[in-house]
Amino acid sequence: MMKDSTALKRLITSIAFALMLAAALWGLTHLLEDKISYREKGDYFSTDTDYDVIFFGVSHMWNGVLPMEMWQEFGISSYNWGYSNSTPAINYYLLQEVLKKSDPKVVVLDINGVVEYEDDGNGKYDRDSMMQAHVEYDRFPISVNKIRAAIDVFDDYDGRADFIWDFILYHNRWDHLTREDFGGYVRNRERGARFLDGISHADIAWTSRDERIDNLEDYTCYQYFIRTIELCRDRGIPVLCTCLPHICDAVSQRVCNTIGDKLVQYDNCSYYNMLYDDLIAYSIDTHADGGHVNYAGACKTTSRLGEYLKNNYDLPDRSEDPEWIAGYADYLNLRRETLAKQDMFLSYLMLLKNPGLTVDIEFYDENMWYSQYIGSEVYFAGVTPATLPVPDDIGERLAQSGAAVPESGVCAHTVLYSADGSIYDEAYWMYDQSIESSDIGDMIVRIR
Amino acid sequence: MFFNSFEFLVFFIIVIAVYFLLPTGSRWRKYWLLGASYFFYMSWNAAYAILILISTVVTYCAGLLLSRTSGEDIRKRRLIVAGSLIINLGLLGYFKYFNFFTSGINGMLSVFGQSMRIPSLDILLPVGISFYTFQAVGYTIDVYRGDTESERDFFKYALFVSFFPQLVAGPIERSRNLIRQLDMNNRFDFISARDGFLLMLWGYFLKVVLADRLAIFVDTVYDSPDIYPGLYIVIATVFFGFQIYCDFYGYSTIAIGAAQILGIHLMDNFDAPYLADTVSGFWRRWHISLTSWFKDYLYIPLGGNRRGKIRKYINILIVFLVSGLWHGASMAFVLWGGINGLYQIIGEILDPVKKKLTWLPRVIRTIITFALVDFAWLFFRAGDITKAGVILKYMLNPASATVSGGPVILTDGSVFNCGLNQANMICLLISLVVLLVSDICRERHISIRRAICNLRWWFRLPVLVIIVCVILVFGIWGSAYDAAGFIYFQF
Repeated sequence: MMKDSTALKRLITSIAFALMLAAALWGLTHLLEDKISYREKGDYFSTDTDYDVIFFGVSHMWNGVLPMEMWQEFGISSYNWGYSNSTPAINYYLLQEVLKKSDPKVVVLDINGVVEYEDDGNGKYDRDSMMQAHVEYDRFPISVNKIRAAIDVFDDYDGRADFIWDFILYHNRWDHLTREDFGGYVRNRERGARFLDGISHADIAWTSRDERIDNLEDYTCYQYFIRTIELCRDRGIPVLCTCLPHICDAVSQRVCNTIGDKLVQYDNCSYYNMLYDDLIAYSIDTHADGGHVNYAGACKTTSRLGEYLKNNYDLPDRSEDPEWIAGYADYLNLRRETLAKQDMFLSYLMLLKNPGLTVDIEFYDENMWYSQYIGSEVYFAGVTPATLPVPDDIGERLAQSGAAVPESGVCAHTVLYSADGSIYDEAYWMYDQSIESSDIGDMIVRIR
Repeated sequence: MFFNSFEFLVFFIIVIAVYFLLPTGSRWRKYWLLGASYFFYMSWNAAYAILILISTVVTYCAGLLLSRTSGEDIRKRRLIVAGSLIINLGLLGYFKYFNFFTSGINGMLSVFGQSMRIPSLDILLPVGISFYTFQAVGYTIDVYRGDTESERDFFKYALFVSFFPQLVAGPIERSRNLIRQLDMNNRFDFISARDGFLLMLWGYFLKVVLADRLAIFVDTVYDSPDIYPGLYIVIATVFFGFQIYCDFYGYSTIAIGAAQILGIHLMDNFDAPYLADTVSGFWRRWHISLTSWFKDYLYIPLGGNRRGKIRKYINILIVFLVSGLWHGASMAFVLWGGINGLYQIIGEILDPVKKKLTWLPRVIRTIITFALVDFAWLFFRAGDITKAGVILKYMLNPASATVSGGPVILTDGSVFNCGLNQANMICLLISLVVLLVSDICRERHISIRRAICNLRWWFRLPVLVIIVCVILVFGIWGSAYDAAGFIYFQF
């Protein structure tokens, strides 16, 4: 009897120890994990929003389609699960996680990534960008699907273990915890997307539209792309495959040309190749990284894609949804904050498109009108600038603004007014002769 | 499969679960542990399991033959022992020292103007060969001396040679201690298992929190002594003294703890060595299983201290030179062994002087001993004599380097640029204090494990949870770090 009670006591203390340890590790896992996953995709879990359209793809999707702009223009409720190097293999498992919470009416898949990863990471992921996959996976709770994904997609043992229990990866963060780690992280206000500021004057090298890619079916990521379409078919979800505009190489163009024929056999699948829509002015609508569209390019892409979705799918109008209205107000705040941080005049002009503020622009130099880029951005932003001679009191106004440069060289003055008439942001702009550029617009920088 | 790997934890849990589910005293327990031990070893290099098998068969047969040979037939018995030693040490020599000796012979040939060269071989050193060879050879000698009975059960003997907790890095067990424990008739003992678990935790703390953190600093400095001269090298050498201690002590403690959970008690391998106040005292406390092996099977057969002082000094020097060579096939290890041997000889010669210095506080004597031992570690860590020379040059003459290695590095933050930032350095120093306190408690026969076990359960459980969490959070493990292997695996 005595022996039995001792054994029972030991069993209970052992179980209590295991439970306490599990609880402590659960807490530590959440405390120590990198919060980038929360910042970028955490908002998906923090609201009960019904998402009618969900986007998947690599960075071109992430940076190129803006759900907030789409809602504002068409009343479409959507979420962007695109991310850098989010390959079709990753997206296949990601979709299964996403479908646990959402019941979308359309899934939009970007075709970029179906061939790019064949020589790297098991043909399924980018070995050098494991952390990017963590951004999407870490926020999901442990599940059979998540374990299957880790085992299937990642071919090195450490990588798999890190995805199943990210404490293995993040336990060394104890020496640089910040307030964010205790719950103060800033949520993504763009419904998963991320618009890019900055402008490059890149251009695209077009190949013939007749060029095709051979043996597309042999590419591992293409196979996962098809599995994703089949998964949607099994769940009764229509799929729209797109080739989004971006600075793409010859291989990507060939894929765009080839894939449409391949997708015909899937009843639930349509293909919309936006690459040849003459939608994007690549010289101003792309980001300085040289590959992705910037905010202006994303707005144009989003508008065209939203129009296509509205016309071809039965999507409810969510423009009166209070959750979206509140979310859009947050998004506008983000836009304004981004605007106020701009140091480059062209980028500033680009972001002036509908920021929910009144804008005054004074141009002091007629040379500015000769910049085609300034004209394009002003046109894109829909702003009518006032052209004025340099005012007499510019020195005094500069002194009041606290700008740390002399008045000479000031060529523009911008003021953003809030709805109540108060000044939200005021900026003086001048030429920076140290910047080598073929266009005057690139040389104009903010005086700080 | 390192002890500090996830695979080992899974492997170990499966091994103990199946072991205790099998009937007490059943031969299946033996087969299970033997199979697990070979699986453990083959996870490094499956082909080299054949070497353990050869060593096992040879020493097993030698034991049987010795038991069937009468004590008067000395010549035959010596032949059997010699055969066992030649085969076992021959394998060790071939796999560990072939290239070392051929390069030495080639060097001598070139000195005498001979152009002939013995080609070196591309040989991968089998993990733990020095450990299990010494254990198996020790058994043959024990049977020869009559210190132990020959084991007739082949599987039990094979398990003695290959018992996984101590297979690849010791402790080098004695047959009379281990074989008798392999009858497999022990039941699960909660108290013993809990004690074993606590030992394993302590071992993991030493390994992943201390040794691997120290390794980051030491590796950074020793890999670039020209960038980190002077005081950097002094600190790194002190750190290496603790690194190798924590690494090997950690491994041994995990091994002892793992065996204890299975109900098998292995010998202690360390006894607070850095608290010794003489170099000979240090060696009585450091790697006890190897030091005592050399004493029993080399020093005493050489005559020990029974043949006069000069012969004793020579014997000490031989033992330490062989010990150095056992650690690695490099002249730097031989030099390291020689320095330690010389320390002991000089210590013996200066014994009358030392007796007059008893007024020195023990802490001073301990620090002097640590400094002497740690200086020898410099050669051990350098790995070859040329590199040791370079490191000594930059340590003693930091002006020859491009950056300052003076005391200012302690105040201007430069010391935090060697792989360990300020937070990690603080973590390291706190952990070293924990180690020091633990060693002092051990010295004073205070058992911290027993103190933890004697706590009321509602306090004991949170303490244990905190210990596990501290190891997991502050440990150098996982893909975020390039976790170091155990230093002694290379021997």
